Amino acid sequence: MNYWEFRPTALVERLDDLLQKGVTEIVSFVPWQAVEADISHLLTRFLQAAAERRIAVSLIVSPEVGITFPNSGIPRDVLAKPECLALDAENQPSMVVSSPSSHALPSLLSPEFQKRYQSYLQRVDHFLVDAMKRGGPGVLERVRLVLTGSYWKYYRSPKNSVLSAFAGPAGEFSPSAGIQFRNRVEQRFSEQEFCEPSPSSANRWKLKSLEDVNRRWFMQQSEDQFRVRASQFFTRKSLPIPVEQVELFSPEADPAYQYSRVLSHIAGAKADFSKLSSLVDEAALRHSQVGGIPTGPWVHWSSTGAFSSLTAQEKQFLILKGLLLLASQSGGVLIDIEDWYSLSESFRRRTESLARSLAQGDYRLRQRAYYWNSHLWSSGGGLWNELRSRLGSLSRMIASEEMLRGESGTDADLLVVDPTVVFTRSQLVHLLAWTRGGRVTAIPRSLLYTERARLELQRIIQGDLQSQRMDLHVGIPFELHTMGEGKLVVYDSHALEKSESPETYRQFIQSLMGLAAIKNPCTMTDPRLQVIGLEKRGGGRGIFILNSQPRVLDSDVIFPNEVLIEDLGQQLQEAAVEGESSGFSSQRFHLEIPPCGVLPLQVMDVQWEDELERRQAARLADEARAANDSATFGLAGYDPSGELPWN
Amino acid sequence: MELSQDWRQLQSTFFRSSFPMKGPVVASAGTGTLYCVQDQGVLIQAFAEGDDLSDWIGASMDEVRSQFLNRVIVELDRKALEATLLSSLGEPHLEAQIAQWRQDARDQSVLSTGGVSRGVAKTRKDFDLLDRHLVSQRHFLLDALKDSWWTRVLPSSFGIFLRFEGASEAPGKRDFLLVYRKGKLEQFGVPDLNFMGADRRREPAEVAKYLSDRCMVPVQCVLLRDEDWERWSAEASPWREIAWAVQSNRVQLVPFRWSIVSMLAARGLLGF
Repeated sequence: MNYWEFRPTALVERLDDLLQKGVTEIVSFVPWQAVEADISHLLTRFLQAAAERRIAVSLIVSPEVGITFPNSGIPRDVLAKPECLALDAENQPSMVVSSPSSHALPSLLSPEFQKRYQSYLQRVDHFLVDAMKRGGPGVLERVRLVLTGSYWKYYRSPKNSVLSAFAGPAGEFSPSAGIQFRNRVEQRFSEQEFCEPSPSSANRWKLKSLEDVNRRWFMQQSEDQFRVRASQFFTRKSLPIPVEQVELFSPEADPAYQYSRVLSHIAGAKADFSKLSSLVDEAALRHSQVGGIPTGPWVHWSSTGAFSSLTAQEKQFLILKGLLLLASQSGGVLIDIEDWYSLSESFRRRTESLARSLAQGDYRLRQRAYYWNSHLWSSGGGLWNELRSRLGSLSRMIASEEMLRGESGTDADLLVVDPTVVFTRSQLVHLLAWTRGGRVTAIPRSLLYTERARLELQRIIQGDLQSQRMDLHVGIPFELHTMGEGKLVVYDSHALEKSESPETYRQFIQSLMGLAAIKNPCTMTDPRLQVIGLEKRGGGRGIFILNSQPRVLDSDVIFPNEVLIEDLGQQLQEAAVEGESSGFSSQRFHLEIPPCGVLPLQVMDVQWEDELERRQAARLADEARAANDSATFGLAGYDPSGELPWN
Repeated sequence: MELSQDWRQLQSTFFRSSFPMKGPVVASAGTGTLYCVQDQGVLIQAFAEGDDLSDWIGASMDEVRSQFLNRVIVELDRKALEATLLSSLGEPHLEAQIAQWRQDARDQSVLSTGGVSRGVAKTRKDFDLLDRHLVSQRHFLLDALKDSWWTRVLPSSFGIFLRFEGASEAPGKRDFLLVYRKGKLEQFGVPDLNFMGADRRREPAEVAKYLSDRCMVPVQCVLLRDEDWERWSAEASPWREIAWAVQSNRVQLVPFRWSIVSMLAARGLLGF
């Protein structure tokens, strides 16, 4: 619910109405224009009214696309200045087709834009302080500020996005972006590590041939910096408000949907459902972070966009799909409250049960493979395409090795590094430590290693650290090094580039999955069906089979082992009697999935569970051994055998 | 905050999802018109209501034409489409932008039937064919106020205040105001009548006077039933029914203006 869509009296009535319906939390966008024009301090009043009713409020304070405000809330004067606009690689203004108006995208790198953006943040802060002054600190007790990835992911060409949403290079090419790009490149490559072995070595990083690699790094670094600064703006203030970073994705305004949207408008038809559905998958496949902390992925469906033209069945499908893919990774689906209440009560009840289970962590999506790309919103090339087509929602693209450090990093068994990633020594050391914990890492043999990183890799490859080497050729030539419980694959990126054959990628990724012992939880005989497998806390799995087609699909589902399946839908609604089992046991089941249907199954697979437990135990043992080793090196007088006394 | 352009209300009043879509494109899967964006003879985007055509992306247009012999194909060139999108940024809102896209598509798109490309439309017959396949989401009232002879008769600036009287809604709960200035829809949404007393707010004549003073344009108040509005909104030209409804007092005009009644009668009973 957006507070600025109501007059003060209507706003209070609306909040009362929502409270009666049992709503306890509201999310509202805070459009830039609405804040600048808010002479009646409606934001302050809204926060006060919500606090009086003990309703929690999340305010999205980043500029975003797809907001039901003219130009998505961007002030007209910002869009009127050519120096504030983002340009694509062909020197054309980047734009989004959006309701209520299509508009050009501002450049987040423009100094002029950044100045105006700072004053917007100041004004938001002013309203928050005002609310606290008027109503006391309790007014902000249930308020949370949400910062998003803003326009960064939308700096893409619609032409490149037709086959795959994030195909081709993404980026901003305005003159101010160009100036900052040159400055940052100079700054980065003047660092000591890039000037070794001699100061002239820095020049090799600035070659024209590395322009694309550097651009990708620059865009990623600029985005990270922008998000950290916005976060710091609020955290440095003394206001007692938590600030959360999320990744908000508006499929309706995405460049990949631009042509489809235009065609459906001129045809006077409803939106392209299959395209929108595929974009939800894309939102789930990329995992951003701010300051090393992963951001929750969210999908936003606006009240006046393409989503509103879909049938109730299609809307329900997209909501469920979004929940399964995103809420299982600390994200969710943002939908207008009117749209939500327009859906059937039984659907809302079922969805609320599912959302509650996901929010409580009863079910979660465990990523099995990561793909480290130099820029999160640029293409990952053939390797990534093959990985995602084989693993689907079990794979994830990341843009920083920091993502491997947290809880999410402990899940994965495989990491593939894109040939465009530049390695420093510290990154490489960290990567190898992660690999030793029983995982498989594939890194390219390329020229994009600093001298220190190159020497470190050489040291390991030459066997300083008990590394065993095998030379293999599966699709492309690669070296396999055993490191503790893990395996390091050094693949020939030039051979990969030269080949360009899908078969090469297929063979190579298949061999990596074999090394990492990654298997799909089940396969469908009809490839049009999508499977989302979630792990259940305490054992077992939830398998959701999705049919995005407008017709019934018959298919067999085949598991690697004999399993017991039950109806998960009943269990989620807590209708199942404790201890009562009404399942079927087999390895292959025949299913009939209704159009736009989602079939939830509870699966018990004893062999699969055992295998997972074995792997976890091996990983823990290896990590304990690594800790022991580091203690041996680090603490004088410490003996791991424990036979000698400390003194 | 009172929004001068309340898009959500515009959508829910004029383009409710329960209203069926209009135009010839509503077709079952496998039979509807194909809308394509092509780049140098290669299909880069295709759309047909109810069909998933993603497998055809990357195919040559010749291949597409020969495969879909029994379907009408409207082809747009990518570069021309992008130029259209950029030039439409000057329009104030999406409805006006869509109208421009449609107009440019009409002038530039290539039509194919029976596997044969007819080229860019030049003859009256081609344009008639294109017009049947390029339909934007429309509403009879907005069309009449924007694209008909009414625009020559109505004042350059005026307002229309709609009050819907449904069985379930309290009076005044469903109001909507449209304000046109120099032929363009500039302001729309639920008007703020809080400055009027509760009694005056119920009186359409008082509301019309209040809004006329506030917006500085003459405002015509129209009282109608919610179910009638829903039924008429699903039709392309319900003017005959509306004219009868005015005559039978089912629709009330406040203030009653003979000029407006004759305009409605001309559309509804005489057909123009």
